Amino acid sequence: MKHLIALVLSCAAFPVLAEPLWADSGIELSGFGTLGLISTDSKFYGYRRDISQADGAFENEFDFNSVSIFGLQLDANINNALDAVYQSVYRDQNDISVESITSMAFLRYSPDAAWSVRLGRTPVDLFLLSEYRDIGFAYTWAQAPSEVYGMIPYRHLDGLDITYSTQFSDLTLRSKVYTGKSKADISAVDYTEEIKIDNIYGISLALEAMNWTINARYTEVKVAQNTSLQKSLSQGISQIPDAIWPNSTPFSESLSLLNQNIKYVSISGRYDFDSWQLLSEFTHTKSESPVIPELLAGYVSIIKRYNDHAFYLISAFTDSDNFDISSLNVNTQLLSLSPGGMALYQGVDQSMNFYASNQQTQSIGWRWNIKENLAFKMQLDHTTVEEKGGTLWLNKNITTIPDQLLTPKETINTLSTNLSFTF
Amino acid sequence: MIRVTKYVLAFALCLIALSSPASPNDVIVVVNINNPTDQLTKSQVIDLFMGKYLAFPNGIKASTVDIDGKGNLKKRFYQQLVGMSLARVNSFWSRIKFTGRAKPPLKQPNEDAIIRFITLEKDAISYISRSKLNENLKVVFEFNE
Repeated sequence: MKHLIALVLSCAAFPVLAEPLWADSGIELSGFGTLGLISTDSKFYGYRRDISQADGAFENEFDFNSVSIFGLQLDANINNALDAVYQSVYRDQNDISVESITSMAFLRYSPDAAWSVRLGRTPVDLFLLSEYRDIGFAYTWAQAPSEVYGMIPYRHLDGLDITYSTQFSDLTLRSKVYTGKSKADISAVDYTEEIKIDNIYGISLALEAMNWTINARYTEVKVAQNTSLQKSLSQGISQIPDAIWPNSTPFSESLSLLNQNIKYVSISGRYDFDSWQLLSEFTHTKSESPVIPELLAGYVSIIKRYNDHAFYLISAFTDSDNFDISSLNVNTQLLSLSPGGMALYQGVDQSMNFYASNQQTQSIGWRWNIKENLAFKMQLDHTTVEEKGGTLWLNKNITTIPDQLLTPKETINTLSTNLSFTF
Repeated sequence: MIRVTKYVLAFALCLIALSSPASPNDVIVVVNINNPTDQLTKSQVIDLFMGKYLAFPNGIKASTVDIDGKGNLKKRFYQQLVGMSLARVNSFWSRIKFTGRAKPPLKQPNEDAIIRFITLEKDAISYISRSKLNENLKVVFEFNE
């Protein structure tokens, strides 16, 4: 939080930076932010924005960090075809370094209105809001649905993208292909690990009219490394005789995520009619690895605007199959005789179910545009987390209680309020 | 016959009066007088100012220019163009600008600065009050068309 306050104060101290003088010189500094507060009534779970966050908001806590963000952007116009953009974002990263707070740093070559090539660090474009989920002022909701965005820790793509835009009648078709690599933290109950992905190839299509938009995205990535947890589990299982853990060697090898492909698909649409807006997205994640189960997620939202106010409802879900560790037919009686045997067994159970998110949320919310660049937002989420489906949440107390289910079923209410702004 | 002609004339004058004659406060979209574009449709102006397609009909890249901050002219322009408040326009643009998807419009502090800029830049386009129109500018779109 102290980093965030320092950044906000720095910005307030230099309002002249956003003056038009900079526009004349071809350089402009601007920014955005969200000052948020969140609380939940969960007995087991702590709210977090996505699975990269190692800390969250627990019962009887009012948490600022997990929902507060501050970003600064520098746009430099080099000539009519070339420009450069740098953006730095503080969003309670687990470690603060120039690398971790740099969310964009690219050079763009745009010879005409149809073509644009960006080289460098750009926002990752897996799902509809992936590029701007940290920019609260850009969307109506107080929180983007965790069911879809909570499972994606990645924020940037280090590589290249090419965009082609064309028009016919009153429609605009925007197509983008991209390639590169990325990395992000993934945090569980008691550890945080960096995950690297490379060989990212994707395509994004958007067909836009004035009052509707249809988007489709397809991305393939390859996992570039194993986590140390996966390595230690694999190593431990491979040393157990088949009499205790049937097919222990092939099973231990199947835990490896190295070079495994993950495919992300998103279909979304927006329709505006009078003062109403309907917005929906469905996503599908599939992997070759049994560690990452097939995941279907989505949401439907309806928004009613009334002057400077917008009232909305969201219904969101994630659905995936849990891994049933009893299907391995491990002889737990014999395994319990060896030191650490049952810890290994539980570790495999948790690891194989880590990505198996199962929950549904119904939300009601309000956005009030106080000024042209300042909005107040409030949202109440009513979430049902299914048994073993609580990946999107943190539970710090659970590891100290032997044999307790890591993620029990629970119904949780979460209240989120924030002030979002741009300058 | 004279009486009928008088009524026809009176009716015609009423029609002209009701057809909202150009007012000095009207918001008009202008380019440099040497820009080959003579006319734009509302849809084309929306594409330019909402970052959808930043080119004139002849394919030449357009430099959209906006007034910095708020102000009545800017408010009226976007309300008439897309029926949005400035807060919603800013929200829309923050999606484009802060994702690096497209270059936002250049900012000028007021109408006079916009006029100076367009006078110098052949490919610039912006909006002003009709009363500020001069011989160096060309009107390419009017809301009361």
